[in-house]
Amino acid sequence: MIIVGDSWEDAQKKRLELDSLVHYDSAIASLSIALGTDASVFDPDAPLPKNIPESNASKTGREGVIRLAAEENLTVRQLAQRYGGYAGLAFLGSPESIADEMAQWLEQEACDGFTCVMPYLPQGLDDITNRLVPVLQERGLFRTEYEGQTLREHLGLPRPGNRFFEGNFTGMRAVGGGGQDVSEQKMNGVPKLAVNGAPVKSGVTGKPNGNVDKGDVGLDWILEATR
Amino acid sequence: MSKTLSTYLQDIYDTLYTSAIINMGSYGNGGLPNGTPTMNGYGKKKQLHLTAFMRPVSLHTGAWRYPGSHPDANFNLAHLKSFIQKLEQAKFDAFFMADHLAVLNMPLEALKRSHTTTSFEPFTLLSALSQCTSHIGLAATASTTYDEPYHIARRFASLDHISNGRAAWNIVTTGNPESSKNFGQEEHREHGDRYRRAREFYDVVTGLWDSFADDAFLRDKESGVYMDPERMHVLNHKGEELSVRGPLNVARPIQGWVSLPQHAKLIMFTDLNSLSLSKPASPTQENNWPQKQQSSYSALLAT
Repeated sequence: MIIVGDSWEDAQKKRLELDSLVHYDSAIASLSIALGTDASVFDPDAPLPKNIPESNASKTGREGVIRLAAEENLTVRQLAQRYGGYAGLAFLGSPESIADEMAQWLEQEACDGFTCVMPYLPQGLDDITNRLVPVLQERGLFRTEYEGQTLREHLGLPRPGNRFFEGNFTGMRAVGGGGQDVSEQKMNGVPKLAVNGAPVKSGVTGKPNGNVDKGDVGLDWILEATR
Repeated sequence: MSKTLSTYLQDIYDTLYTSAIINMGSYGNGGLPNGTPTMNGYGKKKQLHLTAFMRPVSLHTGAWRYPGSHPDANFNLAHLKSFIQKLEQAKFDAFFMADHLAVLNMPLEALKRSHTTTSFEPFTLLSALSQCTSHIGLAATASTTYDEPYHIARRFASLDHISNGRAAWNIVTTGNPESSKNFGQEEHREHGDRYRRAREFYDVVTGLWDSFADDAFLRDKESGVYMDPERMHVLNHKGEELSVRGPLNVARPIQGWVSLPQHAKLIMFTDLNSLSLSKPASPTQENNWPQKQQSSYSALLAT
């Protein structure tokens, strides 16, 4: 999620306002899951109590909650609303500082792009497109024009060859090795199909020429002919 | 993390496991080996790819109440048109419409406050949005568990032609167990089962996309030959899960195969960093809800 503000403090203020709109009933249930304990017994407007009991739930998750509460100095209510709203990675800050962070991810090859969650619409989207994107563009980190037409071209991905009609098939298959490879089916032959319940005539080796029986015409005949 | 979000993300996380197997055409690094320098072959500085993860009102569960929001955006095409046009103006790679196949089975207290459980069916929406944009990619979630490869192949191939090569398929096996009840199945299929089907499904869909060579459609008025059968392949797939003869009745997509992004992987990257999200809730985690929240959507249905 990306929240663009004039500064980190400004963006954080927007985030807390957004989080505050998550109803406490749903929020506290989310926090309970994250902590692995019933958080509804805590004072909503006090800091998270120390000595949260351990549970069977994810320890990493629990520790993450406790760390977040301390780092951002959140009350139980605020913490609950964070978990009830959106608790994934968020870039908050000025357009420049967010661009710095994104550049770091790119340069360190942590990723080469972001799937951006809008915090709220339309304003949150406008802030990204009108304020953040121009900074990324000025720094040469994002395109200023589409260079291609297709999505594969935007992403720099090749157009896969057709496995049945081009010799150098460049696509990849989900199943490799001894698995089912559809391209091999053609090479190794295919099972006979029935045409309207009747078995396909065997021994057909030529191409359709208009002189075949009606039952031989069509896709099943092609299958037979390509055996 | 909210139940809404965790269940929601579970659907997406699920694709991660698919992605580990079906590792192609990703946003990852364009298919380049790991460690490929950040300069491309032309000495150009490597640039970011940006995709908008769209829920029409936002993924954040408080967003519909935010000042200036459009709480009705789930079913208001004008708002969605405005969003995608702004994203295209900013040169985003793609607009990604996530999807569910069921209203999430969450406690009524949470359900009644959630704007994230309803929205347009993605293909219908993206087809409409393709007509008010020209370059931005159009990505849709589609499930390998609750759909047929022939349906999926022709829908994406059609969207790719309609949009002039801008379609992308976010492959999921569907994590939300509630979905099964909308498709005549009492039980949601077990994880390994879903992924076995997904692998075969992927082979069939891409095989169907390859039904016609690019030059198969001669459309030669003089000879009267519209299509060259020699340039058509009948897939005739018979596997463990699927039986599909083919060929697809849609020409090969403009992109050959539509883009096959790995959104889950990107989300995983980000979430690993935040350390605030653990592995998605399993269906059994339902029981971790405080007792007072137990009245649920299915309880409502039962009454």
